[in-house]
Amino acid sequence: MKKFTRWKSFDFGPETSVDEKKSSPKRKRTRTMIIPQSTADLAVHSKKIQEIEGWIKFALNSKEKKHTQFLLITGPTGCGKSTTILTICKSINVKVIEWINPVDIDYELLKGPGQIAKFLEFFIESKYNSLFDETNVQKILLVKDFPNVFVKKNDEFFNILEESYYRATYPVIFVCSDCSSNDLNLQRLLFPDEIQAKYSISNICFNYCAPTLLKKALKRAQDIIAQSELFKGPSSDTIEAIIATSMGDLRSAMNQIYIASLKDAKSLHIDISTSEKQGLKKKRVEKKLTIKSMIKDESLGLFHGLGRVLNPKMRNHGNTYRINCDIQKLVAEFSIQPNKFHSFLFENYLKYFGDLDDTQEASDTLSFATLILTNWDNIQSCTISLWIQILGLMISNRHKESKWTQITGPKKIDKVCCDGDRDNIHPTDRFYYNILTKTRKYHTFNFVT
Amino acid sequence: MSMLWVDKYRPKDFSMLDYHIQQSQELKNLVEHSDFPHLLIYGPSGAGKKTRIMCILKELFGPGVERLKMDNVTVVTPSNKKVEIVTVNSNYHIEINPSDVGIYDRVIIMDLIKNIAQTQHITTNNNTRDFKVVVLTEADNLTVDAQHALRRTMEKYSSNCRLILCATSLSPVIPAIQSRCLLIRVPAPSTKEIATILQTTCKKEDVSLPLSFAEELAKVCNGNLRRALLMCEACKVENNSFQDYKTIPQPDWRVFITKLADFIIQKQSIQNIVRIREQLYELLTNGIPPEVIFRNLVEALVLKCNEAVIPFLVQEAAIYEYRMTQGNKHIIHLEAFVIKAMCLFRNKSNTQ
Repeated sequence: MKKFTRWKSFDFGPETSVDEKKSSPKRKRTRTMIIPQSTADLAVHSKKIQEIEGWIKFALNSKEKKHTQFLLITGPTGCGKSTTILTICKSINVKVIEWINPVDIDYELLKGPGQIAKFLEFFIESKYNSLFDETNVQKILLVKDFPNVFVKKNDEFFNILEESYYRATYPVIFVCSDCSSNDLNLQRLLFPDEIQAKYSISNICFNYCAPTLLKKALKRAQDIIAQSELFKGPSSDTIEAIIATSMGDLRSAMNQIYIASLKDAKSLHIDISTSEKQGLKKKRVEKKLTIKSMIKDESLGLFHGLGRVLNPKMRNHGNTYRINCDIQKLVAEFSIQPNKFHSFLFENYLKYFGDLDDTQEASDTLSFATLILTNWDNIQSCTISLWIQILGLMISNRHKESKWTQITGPKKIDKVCCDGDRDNIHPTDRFYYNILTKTRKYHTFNFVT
Repeated sequence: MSMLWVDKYRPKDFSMLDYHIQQSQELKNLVEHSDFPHLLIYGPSGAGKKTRIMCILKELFGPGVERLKMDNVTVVTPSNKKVEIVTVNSNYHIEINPSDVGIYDRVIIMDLIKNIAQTQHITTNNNTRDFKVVVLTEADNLTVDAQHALRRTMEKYSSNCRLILCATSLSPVIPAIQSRCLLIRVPAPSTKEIATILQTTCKKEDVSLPLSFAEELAKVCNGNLRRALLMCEACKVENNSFQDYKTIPQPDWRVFITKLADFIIQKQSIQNIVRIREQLYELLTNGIPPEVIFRNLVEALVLKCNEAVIPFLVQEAAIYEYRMTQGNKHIIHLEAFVIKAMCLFRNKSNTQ
């Protein structure tokens, strides 16, 4: 019994306790078997696999290319970015050398080489083959673990890119996880658009793992697990619940299935509608909590968030209504780019309102929110403005118009400029100018209803 | 193309100005010596701010300022975006409208003006002054960021660079800028003054303008001399004589806004809001200033609507106009006001 409780932490490091060593071969086998063996096992869209495979082949075969090929792979955590690369490389017999952040070693008197120096070395000196390698094996470099220095000094990273652009011999793949926090967004920090253009870095973007693919992957895992006598296959209800809670995160789903299939977790049963309370046994409440702790933070895309605000879900609470939505989370999600969210809301809110008075309230809160947003001096006032607009729109939408409507992007006001538009003619006087010169150089207004 | 009357008869130095004679004399005395502060010239449009600025420049540097050339200047923002701006400059001054580049005006202020201000002016003859003049038009459209940037530039380079700011309204200009400048208000000319100027101009063109029509034009133009001249010339072009002056052409955008107001009063529904938003966008993209739209809209609504609603309407207009001057997304406040007005009208018609 006791040894199983340790597994929850999923420590993949070397085993230390003697007790564990006995069971470790079995456990290892199950885990390694779950790792996809071929590209067919991947829970990634086949087009995406083709895309990456195509890139790798192209990068390896372009010998006459003067510079190093870079690829940047982005996507949410746990959607199988690295696994895809490793599996593809395995299938086409390419060796992957991965960069792992080294520990700084200081010698007695001197300081050892820093991470930056080592990082550069990794790119440039990996051309020296290991003695144990078979010859004629093509190699590819994988960087997933960016040295922390680069968060503060991204120009150091650019220098290294510059250096390795000409000197590194193997193609390099960078893997970047999406991140909702602004400070730690490596993709934005290390790979801004101009850098991507300068070093012709190709970019392949992964999406959340689709539920059908997730289901397929879990099915496969279930089959493998069923062969082992240490585990029992989890029920289909459990799988369903796992798919629902993992939010497209394959790794989290796998971890959950691992726990769910432990033999003594017999009564592990998850209600999908978690808010419903039935006469619960004490034991069940506990199980629920463990699953709860596994639930990934739900992250919303822009459109998802807009949908939440524009189509508010209400629930009865006595005589009044309550908004069925975690507004706090919504605000936190969009606090990075309140302006964008605001313009999207403004562009689209009209379509979701069914009553003029409601619309009036909504437009008033939007206008008020803009006032705060434009006169911001710190991040707090942005948050306040977001609160005002989100709550205002949700509360005032009493007569909801619920039909499908397309969300349109905010309109940019580009002032129309005519060539030679420097005649010192104020826009309000252009009408006379048109009359006087008998041309239609400037726009004429025509009211059509 | 022949020159427009407006440009042809624009006064070129202080002696040619027709009104605010006292003020012109004061300005002339002010710039006589090189020792004068930065200037902030403000007043309604068409009152002659720009004309006075040109007069000041002429007084300072002589006829050389009239040799103008246009330049395209490119400035790179910190985010590596290239921003282009058109400047009008002579050897002695440079005129820019930083609000042309929208939110990047701060970069223009910081880079371009600093550049000009840092370059020492080489004196070629005794006549020239040892400073350059930077004319910033539409200073009231500058973002707050840009204004703060301007504040530091103003202090630092005041020895070899003078700024002349030109604004329609003083309220969006931050107090820090106001206190660093000498404020000069150019009020709109009176209807009588406009009528006289119209008549003298027509005399120069060898057209006879009846006094009654001149007064009519002066009344309609709302204190905007430039518009009065344009109207006058437009009338002349349309029917060659001023005898039957029944219709003075209204600017098309004004007619547009009046129709918009009718539309609001007639029918209040959400579909209409969507349509009105498009119309407002059309006005804004074609450069009609949002303040002008707002003002004309309210005026048109007040003329047409039920008497009982007027106090509420004006009150709401005050609230939203204030918000509009504070923020930079004008369309949001305009629309909020339109919807509010719609609600007022609908509630009124329901109670009757």
